[in-house]
Amino acid sequence: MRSSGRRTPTSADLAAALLPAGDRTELLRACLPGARGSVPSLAALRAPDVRRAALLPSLLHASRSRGEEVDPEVLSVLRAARTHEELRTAAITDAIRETLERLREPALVVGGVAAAATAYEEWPLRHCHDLDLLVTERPGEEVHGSGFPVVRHTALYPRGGTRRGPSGALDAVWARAVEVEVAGFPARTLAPADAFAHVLGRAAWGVTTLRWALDAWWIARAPALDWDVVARHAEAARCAAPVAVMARWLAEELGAEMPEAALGRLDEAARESDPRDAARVLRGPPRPWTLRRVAVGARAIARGAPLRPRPRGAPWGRAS
Amino acid sequence: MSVSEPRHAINGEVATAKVIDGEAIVINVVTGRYYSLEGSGALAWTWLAAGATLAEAADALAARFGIGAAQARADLAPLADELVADELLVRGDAVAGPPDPALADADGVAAVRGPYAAPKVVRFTDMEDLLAFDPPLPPTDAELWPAHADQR
Repeated sequence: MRSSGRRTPTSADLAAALLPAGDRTELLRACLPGARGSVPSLAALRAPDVRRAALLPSLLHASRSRGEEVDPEVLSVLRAARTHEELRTAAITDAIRETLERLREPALVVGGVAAAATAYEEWPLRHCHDLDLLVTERPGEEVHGSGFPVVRHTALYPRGGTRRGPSGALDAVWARAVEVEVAGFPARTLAPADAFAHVLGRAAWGVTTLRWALDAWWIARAPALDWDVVARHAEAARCAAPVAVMARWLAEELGAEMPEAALGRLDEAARESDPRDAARVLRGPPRPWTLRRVAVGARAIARGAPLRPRPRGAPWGRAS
Repeated sequence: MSVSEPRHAINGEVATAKVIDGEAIVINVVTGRYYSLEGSGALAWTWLAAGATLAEAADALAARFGIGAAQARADLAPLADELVADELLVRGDAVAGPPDPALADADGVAAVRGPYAAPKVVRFTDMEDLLAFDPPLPPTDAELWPAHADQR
């Protein structure tokens, strides 16, 4: 629960506001290979936040890794979800490759597609419902001919049309970008340290689903991840304190691969950060995009599409 | 006899499937329904979806489970009819076959073991909400998903 209080938030305040509850932590742990945990009931999997996070393929993957005996009915559902995700992967990788092939401008692949292509053990473990690109101009949404959304961002964090939101030190982020292969096509994406900080930063700003924890867990496995860059990115994104709290939770509760020195560096960044930044995070993302959400909903109604929550996308900022 | 029998194949316009750990998961991507076939059902699906006649699929079941081909065929026939009726399989003389015998050792299919039970299909009609059916739905035919970059 987010707070609108004026006092300086403590780590406990941030933890209470930003970290998943105990049952969700158990669920996330059950989604990770090698971690202790067990697949929950179908009723639990139907909870809206769990459905939005599309965790079923990860649950199947992890349950197989630990040789867990899973209820046959649940197992069938997990296998169906995995099969479905494999099909989606095959479909969207064509759309992604074609989009990347036609790009004639600097762009970084970010968000879910970047995580799926570079961090997760297998792409189908990470549900992707659009292609997020960090570009230098013309932010907005496009749609590939297949129907797959392509979202162009000129900022990494919500800015809400104001100058009060974080910049994320974009020049440095661009300079650290790395070459990868996405959907079989050469592309550039955030350095793993920036990707890690970005996942936590977005989660801190409340613009993601439970999946942020799995994304961060997988990204943390990148070899030679530069934790000092994580700290500097979090400082620039004005969310050093939340990132420190979330990172420690990832390490302690989900067993993310993070050396103690890294956690210490993030704690140091948190101590040196402006307490008003943490307070802003607790108040949630800047609000001017509310009208845009209405517009998106209206368009969906106009074309007869079912309305569904879109926890990401709209809050990402336009250049200001 | 099998030469004159019609062959079966997956109905690629609406269905897609995978065998995982000995269970065949078949998804109707139009309705969002999915189907499960375990054990002998998974093996039967594998062969029928790949172009087998009823006799060829029965032979595969008989070999895997040590039962008589006549019993296998008798058990298979109603299953094949169900799968055709549900539009997951098509049946006809123009269908290509026979299946590659290596299918029996393919990933997922090799896990089909255990005592024989007549193959059956289980339909799940209330799971659509769990399967994240965002657009775009998976292609069931490559022609349905041409590159339309100019329309972006």
